[in-house]
Amino acid sequence: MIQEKIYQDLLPRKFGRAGKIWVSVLLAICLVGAIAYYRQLKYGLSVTAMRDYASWGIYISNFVFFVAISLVGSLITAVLQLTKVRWSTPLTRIAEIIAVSAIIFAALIIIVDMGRPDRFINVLIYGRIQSPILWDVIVIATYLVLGVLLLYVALLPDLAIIIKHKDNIEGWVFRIARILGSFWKGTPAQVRLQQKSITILIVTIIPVALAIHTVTSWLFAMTYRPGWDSTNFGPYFVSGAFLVGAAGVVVAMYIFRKYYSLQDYITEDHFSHMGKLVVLLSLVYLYFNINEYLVPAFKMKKPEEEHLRGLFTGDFAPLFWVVVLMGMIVPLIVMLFPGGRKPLPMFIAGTFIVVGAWFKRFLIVTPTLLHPFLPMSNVPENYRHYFPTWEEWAITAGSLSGALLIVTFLARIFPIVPIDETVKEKMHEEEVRLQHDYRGGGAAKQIITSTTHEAYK
Amino acid sequence: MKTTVRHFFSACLSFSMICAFGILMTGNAQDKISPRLDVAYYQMDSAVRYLSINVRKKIGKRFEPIAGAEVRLFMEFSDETIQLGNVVSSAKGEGKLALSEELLTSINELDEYSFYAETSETDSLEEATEYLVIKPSRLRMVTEDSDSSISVILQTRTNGNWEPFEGAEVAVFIQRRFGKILVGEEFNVTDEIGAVELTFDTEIPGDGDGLLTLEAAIEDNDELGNVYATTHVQWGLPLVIEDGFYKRTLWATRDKTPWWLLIFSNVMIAVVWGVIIYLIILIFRMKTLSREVSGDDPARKH
Repeated sequence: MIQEKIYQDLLPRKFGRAGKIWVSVLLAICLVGAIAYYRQLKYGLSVTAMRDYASWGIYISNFVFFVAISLVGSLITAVLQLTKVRWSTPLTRIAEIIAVSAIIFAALIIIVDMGRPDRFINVLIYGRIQSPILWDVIVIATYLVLGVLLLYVALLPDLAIIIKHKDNIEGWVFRIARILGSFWKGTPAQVRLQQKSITILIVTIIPVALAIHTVTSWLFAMTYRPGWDSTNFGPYFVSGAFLVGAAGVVVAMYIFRKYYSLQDYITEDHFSHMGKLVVLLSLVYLYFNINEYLVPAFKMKKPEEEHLRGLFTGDFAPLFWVVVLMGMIVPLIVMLFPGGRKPLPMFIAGTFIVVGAWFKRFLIVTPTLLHPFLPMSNVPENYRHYFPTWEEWAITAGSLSGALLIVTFLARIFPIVPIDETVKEKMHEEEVRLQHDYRGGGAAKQIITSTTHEAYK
Repeated sequence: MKTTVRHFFSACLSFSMICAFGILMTGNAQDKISPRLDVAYYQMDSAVRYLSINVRKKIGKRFEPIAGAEVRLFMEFSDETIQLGNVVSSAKGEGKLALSEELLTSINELDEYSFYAETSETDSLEEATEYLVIKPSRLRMVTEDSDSSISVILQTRTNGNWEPFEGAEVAVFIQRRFGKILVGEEFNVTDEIGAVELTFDTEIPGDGDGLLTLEAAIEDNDELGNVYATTHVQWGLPLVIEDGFYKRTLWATRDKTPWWLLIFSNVMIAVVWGVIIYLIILIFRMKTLSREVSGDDPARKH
């Protein structure tokens, strides 16, 4: 009975009206982005506001954002599972899906930033392993494969459940599930191999996840520029990535919980736990931010001074302080209190963190480029400033919509909360309850064990 | 009474006029600046000679440069004065005027040079003049390779002859790209034969052949001005520039990757992708197990 209810609740469902509108809006934004990209391909990067100085704009900010948010797969799935944090079970699939979609678009957006994308192949053919750019290409490809494998291997039992409930789902979803998971029978040997694979994956994905964002930070820190010339950049980026990733999961949790009515599976306890985790990550990230700004501000070397003044009191000050206050301090304060760790306040605070994190990446990338060591001279006035053109905004919005579209598509065809693990956990809870009630644990256990095994048949 | 009032108003009017005139005069006096004009004489290796001017004004306790001041420079002879040229001061209040070769030839036999500089009165500047009298000098460096010794010999023109000059302070330097390094003592005074003796005992890199440029300098001498002489010696350590172009470095081409990076990165890539391949094998093994369970395994069919 319990497991049937769980199947009913968690099996993929058709989109309602809201879902269709959501997908249509995302597709429309993607289409506008595609038109803008066509213009960029046709006319070159001159359609962007990037010039000699600000040669990295919102594309690279967006890339860093995608890489950052993709780290959540390793945090929720790998770190929490390795440390036996059981409450994270319903959140693992959400985290894995976000990780895969984000890393796909991280890889795509870096190609968008190239004036001649057809020459990307040259990176592979003539790439120098001495260059951090090649390290980034390698580590992104590796993380993408590991992310997909983690999503897929953990999904196998659920695919079998989808196949088993053929009558309750649409044909095309069934066909996808059959292609991907028809071989899963849930035999002890298969389960053993699956568990082994997951253990290997979660152990492997942690260093690769740390590497992916550390290498991304090195793209900046390996150059000698004010604002980037820091040995602190790796942990600074990683801590920020964990924060935005966790906040992204909070936002997704709220939306999926509300849309699919998953209140029994993603409970207020989950929000409370995630809230505490986000508070911890916010504090760590704040610590690294203080390090990153206080140390150069104390020394005030001339180029650093110009860069910091630009952030604190100059052109970028309004954005900088909004990001610090609304993207870090306010959500942190909200989530410190139990009332702030309820679903709705968490959703709002999480949204603030995610949006703030996007602009934070912009503040990391662009102001530095506008404060070169050698003064700008004999350049047109528009070279001294950077404000993205509509093409850049459209392509960026298109990529964000594309990532959300992948999340939506995967949530449409796969259970957003792992069914098999949820069944096992609920059965275990039931077993404990029965043992407690009847003080005859043996009999109850027998019942539960046989019931659990039924799930695979 | 009427007279008293008239006298009172007359007194007030007079007082007001005196005050106004005073203020006017004071104002005028404050507007005009009395500049300080300095002229210096420079002689480089007996070939290049120029006059340097510096126009400043005193603000409080410090001097500030006056830019754009026009300074006329003259040379006085016993029977005539010739104008050498005009110099307009730069933003730093400075300016230079090279002495032409014709002039140098014509004054070759003189025992004394008399220069005269002046600025005209303008709306903002008062007039300023400055005189400078210089004894023509000849500064030479004689070096001895065997014991790395340096002799600096200073002569001045007296009664038509070159005579040793005693009592001038001379410093010897090694010229570097962005500055100078002192050799020996900072102040060496010429003796009765106009000479200073120094020993070069510094190990310092020179150019590719170990060549160094030595400079003898007399600076701000009241009689001689600023006199410099240079010479080249092969006393430096030959500079060996390590050419890393064909070596394995982080900035080399891809075929010259450092071994440590090549090994470290490839081992890491191999390990992680080895794990990935192993995981894919595990997935295929799970698939094989499925066939065994469902009886699809061809081996089982037999």
